[in-house]
Amino acid sequence: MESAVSAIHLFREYGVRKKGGYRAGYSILAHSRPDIMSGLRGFCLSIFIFEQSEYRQKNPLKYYTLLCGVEVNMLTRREFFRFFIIGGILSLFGKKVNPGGIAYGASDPVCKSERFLNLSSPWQTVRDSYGVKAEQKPKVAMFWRRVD
Amino acid sequence: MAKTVQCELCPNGCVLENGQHSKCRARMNKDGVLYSLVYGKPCAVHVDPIEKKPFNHFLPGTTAFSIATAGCVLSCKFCQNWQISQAKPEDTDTVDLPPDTVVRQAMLYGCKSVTYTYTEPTVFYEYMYDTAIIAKKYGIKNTMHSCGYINEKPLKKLSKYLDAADIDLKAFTEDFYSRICSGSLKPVLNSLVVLKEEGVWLEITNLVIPTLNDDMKNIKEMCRWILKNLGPDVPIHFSRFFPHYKLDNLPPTPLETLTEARKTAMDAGLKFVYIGNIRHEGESTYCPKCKKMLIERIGYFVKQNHIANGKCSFCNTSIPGVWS
Repeated sequence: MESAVSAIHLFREYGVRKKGGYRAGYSILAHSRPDIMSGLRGFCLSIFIFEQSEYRQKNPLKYYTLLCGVEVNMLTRREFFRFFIIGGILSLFGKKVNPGGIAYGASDPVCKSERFLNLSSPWQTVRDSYGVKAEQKPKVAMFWRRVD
Repeated sequence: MAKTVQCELCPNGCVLENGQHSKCRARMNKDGVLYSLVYGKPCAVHVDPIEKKPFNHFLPGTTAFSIATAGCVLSCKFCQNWQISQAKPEDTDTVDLPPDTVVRQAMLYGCKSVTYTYTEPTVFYEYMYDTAIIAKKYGIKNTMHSCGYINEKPLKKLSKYLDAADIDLKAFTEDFYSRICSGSLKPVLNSLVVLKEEGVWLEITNLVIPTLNDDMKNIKEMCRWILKNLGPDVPIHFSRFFPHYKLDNLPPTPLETLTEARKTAMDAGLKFVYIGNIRHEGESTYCPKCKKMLIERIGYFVKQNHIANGKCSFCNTSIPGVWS
């Protein structure tokens, strides 16, 4: 509760970004929604949140990246964080879809490098491996002895 | 033929009859063979800032691919991850993530390190060890956040592949460890010394809990021990307690207590003392010589970094840590 109160104080202190400048003294609860979710940006964010929420368990980073990005954008009043958010949305177009699931960031050059491919299937993901190897046998532990 | 086994991984030394589980819940004796029940089955997989571990002198501003399985060798009453640390592996949602996939995922996300954290990495020792070998082969560093409750032999074996360790020194009294954590202090201190001797970059975290371990006399004693046995360069983090698990009757740690602990540690001679879990200037790194701010942090974000080639940009003093 205390941390929640502190957060509200923090938002009040810094205010929320509005057109034409920043206004202090307003709660994020009153202004965040119209500010963030309106216009073209709001439309894109809605799609982004909807798309990411489906996979948040498998890919928590991307889900939280957006929310943190929005939060930091408001708190620090840094314009460049806009690009951070837009970059997050654009990154969606870079992903590859395969029948077994989604390989996040598979368009990254590192994924095509030889040393990466030396690891087992580059397309195997958390999602598609789940179930496939669910019958994996328990591993014999290290550091134990029989007591006779 | 006797089917009883003894686990020699941690100081608990569980003696298990056929079919019994260890205290950490992650190991089981089946027909006279001890099995790890959590190998390749993490219940938590996240990409975190390295500052969250917390590591303040280890590749600042980078991300760590963080994994954990169910189970813990201790039973701390204040555990903030008790939903998974005090759970049986079969009671948690897991994903199948073999060691090579962990490394591949870490590379996919551009992580510089794999961190074994959240619960107690000792319980998934085999998984951590195998992953660490592959990660090192592919240039990914290995770090762990542990309570240090592990026997010397397995720790030394692991240290060959470990780049950094953050050890929770929960208090400096045996009474606290036995009453609150169901453990013992001595093995933890031994682990700290072993890690230092093995050349693993070491940071220490001390969660300051009101009324339980916030006595400045004990904190001073702890800092003197660190100074004497580990040296003045080991960073120590005084973290703010928030009510969790069985200690939800206590209030969060006041800022004054944390700043007092920080002052006590610095007066004792420790050079890098941090405050965590709260926004404060104590989150940032300062040069011990010129006193200028070297790494400014806001929460887990690094705002500015004035360390170049492991040295202070202002006075060229060498700053201990792993910077590249």
